[in-house]
Amino acid sequence: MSARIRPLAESDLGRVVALERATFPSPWTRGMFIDEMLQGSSRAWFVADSPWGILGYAGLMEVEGEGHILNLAVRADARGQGVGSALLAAVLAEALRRNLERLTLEVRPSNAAARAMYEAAGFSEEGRRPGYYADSGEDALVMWTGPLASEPMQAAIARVGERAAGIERLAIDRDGSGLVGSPSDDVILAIETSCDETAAAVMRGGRDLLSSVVASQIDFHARFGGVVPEIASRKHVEAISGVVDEALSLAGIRIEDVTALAVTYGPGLVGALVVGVSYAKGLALATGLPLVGVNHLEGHLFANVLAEPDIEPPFVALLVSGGHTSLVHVPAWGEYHTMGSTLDDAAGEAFDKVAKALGLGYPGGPAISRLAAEGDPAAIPFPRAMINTADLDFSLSGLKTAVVTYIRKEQAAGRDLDLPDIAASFQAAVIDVQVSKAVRAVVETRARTFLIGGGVSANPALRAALAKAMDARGVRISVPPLDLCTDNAAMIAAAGHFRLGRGETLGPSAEAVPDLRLD
Amino acid sequence: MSGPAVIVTASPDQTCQAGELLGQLVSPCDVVALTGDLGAGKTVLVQGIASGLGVIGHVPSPTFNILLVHRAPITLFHFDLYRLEQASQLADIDFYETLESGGVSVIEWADRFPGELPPDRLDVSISAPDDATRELRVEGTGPRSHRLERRWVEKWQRSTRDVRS
Amino acid sequence: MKLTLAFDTSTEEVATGLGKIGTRGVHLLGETNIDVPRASLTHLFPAITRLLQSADRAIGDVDAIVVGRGPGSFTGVRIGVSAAKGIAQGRGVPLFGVNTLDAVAERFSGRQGLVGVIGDAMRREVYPALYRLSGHTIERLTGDAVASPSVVAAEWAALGEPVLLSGNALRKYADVFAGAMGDRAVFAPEVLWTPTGESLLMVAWRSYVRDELGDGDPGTLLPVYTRLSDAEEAERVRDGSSGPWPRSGVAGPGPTGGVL
Repeated sequence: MSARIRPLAESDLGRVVALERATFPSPWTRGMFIDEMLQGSSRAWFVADSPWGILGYAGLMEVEGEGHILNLAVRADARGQGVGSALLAAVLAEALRRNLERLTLEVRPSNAAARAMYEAAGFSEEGRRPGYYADSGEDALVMWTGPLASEPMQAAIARVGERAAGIERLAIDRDGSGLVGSPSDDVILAIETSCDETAAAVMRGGRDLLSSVVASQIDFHARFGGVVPEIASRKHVEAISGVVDEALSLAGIRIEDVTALAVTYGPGLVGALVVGVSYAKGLALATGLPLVGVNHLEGHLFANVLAEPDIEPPFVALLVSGGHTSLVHVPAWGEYHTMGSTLDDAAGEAFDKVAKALGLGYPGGPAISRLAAEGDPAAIPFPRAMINTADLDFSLSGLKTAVVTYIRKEQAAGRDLDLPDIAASFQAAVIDVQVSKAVRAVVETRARTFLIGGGVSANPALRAALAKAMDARGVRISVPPLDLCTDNAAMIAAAGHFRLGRGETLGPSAEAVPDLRLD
Repeated sequence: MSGPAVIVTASPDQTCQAGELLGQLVSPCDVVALTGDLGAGKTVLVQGIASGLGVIGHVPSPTFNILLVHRAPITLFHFDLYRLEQASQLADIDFYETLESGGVSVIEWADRFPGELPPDRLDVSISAPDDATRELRVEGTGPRSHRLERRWVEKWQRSTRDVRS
Repeated sequence: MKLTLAFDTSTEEVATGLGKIGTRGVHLLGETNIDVPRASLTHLFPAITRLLQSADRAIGDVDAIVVGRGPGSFTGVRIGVSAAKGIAQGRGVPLFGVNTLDAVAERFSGRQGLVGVIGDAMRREVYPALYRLSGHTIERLTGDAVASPSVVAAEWAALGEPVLLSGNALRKYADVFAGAMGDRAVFAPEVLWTPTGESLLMVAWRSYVRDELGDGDPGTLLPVYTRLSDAEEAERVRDGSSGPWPRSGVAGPGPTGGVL
């Protein structure tokens, strides 16, 4: 039986009310359910959800340290399979979490199945309310448990859990606002639109990547039938639906199979971020699924874990991309300390600008890297900016200027440029500083693992130099494959799974944060 | 005085100081358009402006990010149009609305799209007659930016006595 | 009759509406309208939730989505269209787009004569649209375009008849129109310068009865772009998408009509 117990969401109400009407002769109205949801933290409501719809629901009301179970119902075609027990188990767990003393409920004497379930769960009859049920004039049996903390009750609660085996349960965090303890097979749909790329991915259990799609690889001409110019086909608002459809389709699932949503909400370009965040909020409203906001930079850290699942903190990471350069100490997932970052030009940007000054193509990184392989890194002593400063910040604009100045002077003097030597010398200057600071960071933090991430981590000379420096110190180095270095949604799914496990969801008023920091 | 005023600096620190003075003078919706070659010191000037505005933290180059936003009593919108190839991409980054949204906008490589700039802005063009010296040609293109130009130049003059115009 | 949720974030306001669209018109169940400059993303979803609650409905009851495609604030249009795509795809219901300027003109339905809507396009430019209203019909006379307000004002002055003016660009350029058109410029009150949930649904209804709503596929719904580069415009002409004035929610801008 593929069902799971999760908190009731507003989008469930239509189906819950229908089930209420089918189950109870004096059913609650939708307005009464909404009133319940507006009561806030004194209430907890659960539904048993499945690919075939909502199979049941239950509510708990907390009053003066005791709990009152409200409206536990199971759809007729789903009875006898543990759904009721699973709902009851969720309610019991919630009552324990709230340190409630005892639980009570009312049940019709004629409802033998329900009475049996409650008796097995430690409830016993302690009174009656005459004529409680308006439709038939039946009395209500008032049942109470013993103190929940007592041994007999603990044993009864355990038995309920056994009968509910096979039905997943997602627990609720302290504020009742999110989820903790993500089960091992949650299915996360992640969306990434922070910069140039629109991407979506589906991941199970935080590890198992079912699909990862980027817009630039989809033929949008075919989809739009020529209406949309190619230039616009990678723009986020055009691509988002198609990218999500493709990700679901490649994963072999439908939207109904997704159990949580994740979206990059920063940092990045606000015009790009809002597309992903707005779209994801729309999905969340429509499906009732929890939505987790992910920091794009944290995503890059998780990209390494996707490639090497046994990587664990504490580690030091060097994030180097077109727009970002920083050294981060990660003592534990979720704890990020930026040890140093760029004061001016990011590494990737420096490569691109020097490449342009040398008349090479775009992107500059690979072009310089190829040329440098044929040149002498010691040919021109470009400055190693900030290599000896006490801090771990980077500054590459001085180096960039030095290279540009050198080129101009050589040309002014009528000398031919030795492109391989210039490329090699420039690259060596960049790498020397990166390696030096990375090593110092590792030594300072005594980390045994070093991660490199972001687009520039593709540079072979940088990888080789870092690998050599780390190997010499017995520090493990992790370098992700190229498709995980560039922007993608798989890393967002992985980070999203982590954040979901901490119950950190985005509310309906959440904004995109273009200058979001890691620490 | 005819033509643009010129501020001359002898080091990156001085360029930064000039920027800091400008940062102390700008007000919401002011736009500064920066032009100059690679290495001219555009970002250094912006770092000074940021400091004058009270921005805390690094002010790196926005080449890849195109726009970086810095919180301060007046928000600093630091643009870099280097990577854009078509004017239509300016709408993608919410360029026009951001300029009117109440912060200060400083635009590096503004000469990529001269027709897209607001009519009343402060044009600053940086050239490097030698390795250390920088000449900042400053010209307001409308009444508001003219006032800003005059006040900046006067403030610089008072602080160094090294302005030709 | 489909229960339809409509919203628009193309101006400084977030407008939402819930109603049933049938052959005879729109049965409105509720609408909200809030003024939130540059903060649509913060306020859109709480507004939708409040709207549904006030009408005693859930998102699960909604059968179709209508969204304002612009023209308007670039980021605002993206937020609305993206949200609409997410909701429609999540619910598996159709998504239809309406032109935001049309939804402003709709607010004057029932009047006679010309209505001119001008949306703020930044850069000292506007998005102009001219309509002729007669009884309860509204005929759009011009396609989507972007132009300077003085050029639009001169063109409309030359029409020789009064024009009822509306649209959020009036906040900046009312005096330009007053100057060029004299007493032929009739200014609608500011409260009528933007779409409402009801007016969005009404525009959708008009397309519905003409069977011109489009296929409802969220994947092919596009914002209204009027600020294309020459290269992109040329490509659209080649692709044949600069055809007759598009009434469906698909495809980009129409011809530049009689303005400029």
